[in-house]
Amino acid sequence: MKHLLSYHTALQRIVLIGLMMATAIAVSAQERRVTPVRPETNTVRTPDKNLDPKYIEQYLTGDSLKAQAEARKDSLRRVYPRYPRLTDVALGVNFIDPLLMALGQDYASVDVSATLNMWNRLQPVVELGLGWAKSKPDDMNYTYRCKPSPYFKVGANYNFLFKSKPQYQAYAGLRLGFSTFGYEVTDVTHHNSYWQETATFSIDNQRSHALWGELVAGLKVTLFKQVALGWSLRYRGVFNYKKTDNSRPWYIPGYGKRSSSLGFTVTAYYTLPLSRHKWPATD
Amino acid sequence: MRWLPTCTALSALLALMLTACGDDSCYDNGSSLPLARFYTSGTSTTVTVLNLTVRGIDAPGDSILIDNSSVSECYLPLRATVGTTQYELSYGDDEGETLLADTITFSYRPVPYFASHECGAMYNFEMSSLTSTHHVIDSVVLVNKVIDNSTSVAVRIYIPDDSE
Repeated sequence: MKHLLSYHTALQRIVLIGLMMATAIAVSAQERRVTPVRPETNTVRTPDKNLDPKYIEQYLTGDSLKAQAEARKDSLRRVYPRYPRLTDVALGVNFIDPLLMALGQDYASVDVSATLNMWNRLQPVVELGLGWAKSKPDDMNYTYRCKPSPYFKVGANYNFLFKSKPQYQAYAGLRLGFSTFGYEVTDVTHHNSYWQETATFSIDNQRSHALWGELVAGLKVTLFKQVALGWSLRYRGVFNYKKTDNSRPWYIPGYGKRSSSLGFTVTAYYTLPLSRHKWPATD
Repeated sequence: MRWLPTCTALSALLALMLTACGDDSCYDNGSSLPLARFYTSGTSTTVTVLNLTVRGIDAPGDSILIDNSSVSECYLPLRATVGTTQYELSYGDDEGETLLADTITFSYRPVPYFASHECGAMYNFEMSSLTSTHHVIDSVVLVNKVIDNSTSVAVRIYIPDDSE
């Protein structure tokens, strides 16, 4: 009998515990709520503005690790585009002086240039040209002529927009120029008002040469396919020039007026690519 | 890069305007004129000569360069068609009477010279000698062998202190 009572008590306890657990589950079920997603904690990551669509596609298809790696490489390529050592050669013609001469300027220089673009950054330049002058000032007593004479410049530019496409360039550079030339001063009329004497003379066959340097700053923009237009402002200084017993040259081919330190060029370019790779490098 | 073409055009225009600016003035003389200045022999200080008359010998119409004036310096233009030019310097009193006179003689070789686009072409003078009489003048000195169109003193004329 005692054993039966003990069994009955144990059963009651089990039932009681079961009821308590069922009650607890029911209560907890009533208290469960769905936590709302707050916008400020839910960051939506949008792809980079210039990201290649194929990397976005990789993200969407689930290969996110590979996509991240590819996207990073693509980003680096855009920030530091790798151009070939020999990117291109630009052949140019500086044509502004003949236009200014038609508008009244007394002298002109025309040159052709070859600019080698290395890594879209460093650009060795060679310029070859002819310069001439004819001046007969209204209120003066002479005519100055400089026959077409050659000049030569060599130097280099540094392209500050090397991270951009070669079609747009802003550069600074240096030039070293040299010219050998002849000139004459004719039809000189010299009047001495006190002695009432008038003398006429000419100073012929004057030969000279000059060496000078230039600081260059310029811009170049591609207008159509491989055709570009650019200008440059040049601060110049003559290192050395030859005087004669009868004169000092007024005009130096390729330099301009010897007394002037500022020059200006407008150049049309035709660009010849030197690399078959598409820029920037994609590997 | 859309800004670059516009920036290029505007800056090119500005640069062209900058290079168009220039100074076309002649800061020297338009001819080679020797500037003569008077100094005292003792102290070499500049002195003003009173009642001085300067005329070129054989000048057309016997024209006078300086007429009975008080001067400390004067330009003495040289003849380009011959190799010698002479000037007479007459010292007068307050009434205009000539008391003493000296003659200065320049001997030279005229050399055609193109000075600059602004100053033009002229004759320079390579001096071979400069002499004078010594009634009042103590001595004459050439500062440079070549007389050009500079505005600096080319001839120093020394007179004794007691002749001022």
